[in-house]
Amino acid sequence: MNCQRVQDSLLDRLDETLSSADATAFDLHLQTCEACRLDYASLARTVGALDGLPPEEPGPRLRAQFLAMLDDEVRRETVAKRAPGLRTSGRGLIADLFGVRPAFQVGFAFAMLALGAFLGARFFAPKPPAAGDATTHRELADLRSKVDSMSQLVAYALARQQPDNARLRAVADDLQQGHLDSKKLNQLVGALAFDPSVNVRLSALQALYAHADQPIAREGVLAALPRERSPLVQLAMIDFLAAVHDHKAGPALRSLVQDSTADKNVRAAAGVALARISPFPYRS
Amino acid sequence: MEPSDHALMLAVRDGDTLRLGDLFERHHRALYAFFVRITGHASSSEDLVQVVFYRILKYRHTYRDEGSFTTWMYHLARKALADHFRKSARAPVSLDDADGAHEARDQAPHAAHQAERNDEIALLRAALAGMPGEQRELIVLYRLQHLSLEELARIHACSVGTLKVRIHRAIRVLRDHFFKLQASPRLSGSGGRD
Repeated sequence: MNCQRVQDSLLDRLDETLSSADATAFDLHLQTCEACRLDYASLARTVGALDGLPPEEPGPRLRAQFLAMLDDEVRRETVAKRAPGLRTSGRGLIADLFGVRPAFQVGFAFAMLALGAFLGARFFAPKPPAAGDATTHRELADLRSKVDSMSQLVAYALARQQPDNARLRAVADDLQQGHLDSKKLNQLVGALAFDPSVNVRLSALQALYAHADQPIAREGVLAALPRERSPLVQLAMIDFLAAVHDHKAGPALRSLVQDSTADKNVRAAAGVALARISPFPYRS
Repeated sequence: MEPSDHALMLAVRDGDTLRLGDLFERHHRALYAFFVRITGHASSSEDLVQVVFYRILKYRHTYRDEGSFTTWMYHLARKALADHFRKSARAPVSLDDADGAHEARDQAPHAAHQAERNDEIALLRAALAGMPGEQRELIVLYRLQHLSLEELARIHACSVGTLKVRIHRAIRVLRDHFFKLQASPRLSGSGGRD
């Protein structure tokens, strides 16, 4: 091998992609050519230093922002799927009924207002609080007991060899670990946010309890809460945030309390948690 | 068996938007590392990762069946990076630890050895920062992000042979910067983090 071929093969030699015959010829040339030897040594040292650069890890803010973006997009898509037909047909109906005559429109608005007030008074009068509270507490206790039996759920899923068996096993393994590195914690937070299985998400949350002192665990739960749709997991997350007294959870919990589409038990639990973490829970 | 990136991206494209979360979990660290090694700024790099995933979502309908997800993702990442530099008119700078982006996480037991290693890391980062943008990007993608020559050739729209020549040249430029900085009394031995 001559100097030119050695120069052409430097990168391949550094990457160890030369054939053994070429590698031998390359090395033999270096033994006899000082210029090529020095050139190769300096490049090898540079590449070695590059390979030794420590890994770069993003902060938890990135995941929180991504989840918020994804949630926005999913909501927008849901609205977009429903809205166009409704909007078009609604506008068409009103236009057909009233055209552009303001007198009819004002009259119709008053009539609808009166009808709304009547129906509201007739059918939506507030119920006695005691009965409602008792039901809420009973259902809350029931859901909490389901959360408490998480390990049974895990064992059940494993026994049934469900498709999420492997994921569940991985999370269950983490439950046994006293110490988890940031990568493992990230995986747990990822499972909590994205795994389609409620069991896996609950197990991930349980595993995160042992690491609640770490910001990544708390911020991960906080970031996953707004996108969670299962009341069972929502309740478990709320319990987590209340247990760690995470003051940053205030806005998310307040938003749940005010969310009329959320499960009533979840809203009640969010209210209780809000009171626990903040002395002034409803101050915005 | 885990679905491939390509399968996940096809699902996202076809309306299963939530599968983007799986792709995020697989790739956000690598993307962040790519950006932080080029920009030298942790917070900007996090924003850039967010931009890439936003664009993946926005342009999902343009993803092709025969494409490679990684190639497409880095194609978007390079565009985001170009936009970032154009908007901020900011060339990559210090690559020191000003915003906590770079933390030597290895725990070498010997303090002197650790200090020496930190010096070398600081010099290498400074050498990378001093390189022309395209060459720095090539080194980061090839040597640090471990993209294959074929993937890189697709991203740069050139042949593998041409790409090898460019990488070779880039590593030589880095080597020259690196050794020059080592010989400099101002930087050598200072650790570059003060």
